[in-house]
Amino acid sequence: MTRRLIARALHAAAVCAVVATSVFALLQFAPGDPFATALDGTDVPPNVRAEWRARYGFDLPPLERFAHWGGALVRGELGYSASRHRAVAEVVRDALPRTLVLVGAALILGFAVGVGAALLQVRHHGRWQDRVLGALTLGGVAMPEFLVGLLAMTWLGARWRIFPVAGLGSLGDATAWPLWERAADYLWHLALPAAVLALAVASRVARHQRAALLGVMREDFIRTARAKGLGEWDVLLRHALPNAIGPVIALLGLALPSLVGGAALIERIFGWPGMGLTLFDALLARDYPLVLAAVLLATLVAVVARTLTDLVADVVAPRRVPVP
Amino acid sequence: MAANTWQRLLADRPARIAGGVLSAAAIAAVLAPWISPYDPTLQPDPVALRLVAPSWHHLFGTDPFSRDVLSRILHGARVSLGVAAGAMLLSVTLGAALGALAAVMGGWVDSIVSGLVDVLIAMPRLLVVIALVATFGALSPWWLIVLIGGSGWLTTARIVRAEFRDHLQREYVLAARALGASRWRLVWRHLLPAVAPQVAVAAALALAAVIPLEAALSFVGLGIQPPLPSWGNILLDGTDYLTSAWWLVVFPIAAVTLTVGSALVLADRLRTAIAGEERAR
Repeated sequence: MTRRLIARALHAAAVCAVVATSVFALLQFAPGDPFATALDGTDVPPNVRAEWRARYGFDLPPLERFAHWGGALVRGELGYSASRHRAVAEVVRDALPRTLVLVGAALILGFAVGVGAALLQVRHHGRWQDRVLGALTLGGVAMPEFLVGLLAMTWLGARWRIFPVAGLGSLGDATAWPLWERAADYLWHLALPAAVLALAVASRVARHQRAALLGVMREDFIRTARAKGLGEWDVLLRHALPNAIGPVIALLGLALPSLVGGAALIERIFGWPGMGLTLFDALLARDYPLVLAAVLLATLVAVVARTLTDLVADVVAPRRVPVP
Repeated sequence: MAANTWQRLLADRPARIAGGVLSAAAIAAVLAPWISPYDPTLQPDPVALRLVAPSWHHLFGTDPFSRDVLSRILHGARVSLGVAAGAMLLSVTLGAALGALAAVMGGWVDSIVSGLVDVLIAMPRLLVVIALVATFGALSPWWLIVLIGGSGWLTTARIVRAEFRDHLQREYVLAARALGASRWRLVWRHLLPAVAPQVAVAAALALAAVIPLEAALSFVGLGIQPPLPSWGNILLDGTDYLTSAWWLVVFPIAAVTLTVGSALVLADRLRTAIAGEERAR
């Protein structure tokens, strides 16, 4: 277990180093910098432009900048965000927890719903429940998250006004509200984006879990469990599921990078000010330290979450069942 | 063996339906200039024909610039599916070549390719592609193909490498070697045809991943630039009219979902056909 942990940590570090280096290198070819729109093409004298660039280190050669940036990164400093006039670390401290809440809620909700759906499908294998859920989960996998988000926002948000369409909370002096009211308001704003992401998670989980369960249901120990008189739900929950859930958790880990990407679009659509929205804003402003930090952190979230799912899969699964 | 897998697939009804939908979409994309009722960029009357609901004159309605949405979706299929097909071909070719190379060469080549795949697969592809496109500004469709395709070869490489390693252990490979077949003859004449169904699964999965990617890029305004229509930027045009013009979002969403769903069903049924063929042997 310790060896696996160390190997995983090394892997995560390698991933981040490769992502950091390649994104930084590619950004060197990018046209313009944060001062391009403000200074270039105006009647600002050249020496003033040079002075502003020098103040933020944009006049240094790329390798030297990389050394500066990489060195600071290793020390845990992410640089200065010129578009927000704050340290990148501060921007991240505000935005990252919001993304974690969104993705975390979607993962937990989606996993529970997905496993539940798969259990129902296998319990009623080949009958209408199986078919209806199968069609729904296929739809959930086929329709990208941001399209589901757009539809949900159109109807549940904009037309029927059941849910708010944007932001973290209602406008107004929320600090004056009692705590539970503020919490309810937050959850009400979280509900739609989290549910949309959870739907995507649930569909993927359900499809893999159904296949894994059906594979296990053919095995001898299931026949034994039935022969000793257990009810079908007992067989499913106590014998089949523990043997079929491990690979599904591991597969969920593999799907996490794309979930993080989908979450960024959902944040943009619903105006949820997490890392995804921060990334889009930073890209528009050509605020490269913030872009780098956002991409890097998204990668880190995906890698860490994947490591966690791998460990959970190891603990939960008594043995590995090959996924069909 | 591979031939029987294709026969199994053809005998499978969901696979035939999915294949039919994809073929129809491809044909519509190719024939778009001839079957579109209107010019997709024509703005006949931005006042009277603005945001007209679906009717017999405009089956999918019109957009805020009075353009016909059906014509835009058909022409958008040309762009969206064209970019998707190009990116899919690029990523599958790249992935199959690298996966095969890693499996056949082994040693340090295998270590490098597998290591690279392990590291790169943990990156959120969508975010990296968005960051790159946003930084370099509006890209031509050709560059989109290179960028999307170049970032998608990992899964194919993984699948092909695993399949090749599996087949390299089998007796027919040993027999071919014993008869004096060279390594590359073995790859071309025996291994590639044998793993072709698995490569097709990878291709279908790649297509299902690439269509939403292009749509997402164009949707955030970074992919295909107007006036060239794509499914993603038709959606983008519709976001300002969510409450008043449902047809601007529903039809492009249906187009994306139908094609992606068909690709997924095809991949799924093909996998079942392969498994059935393996069991039957």
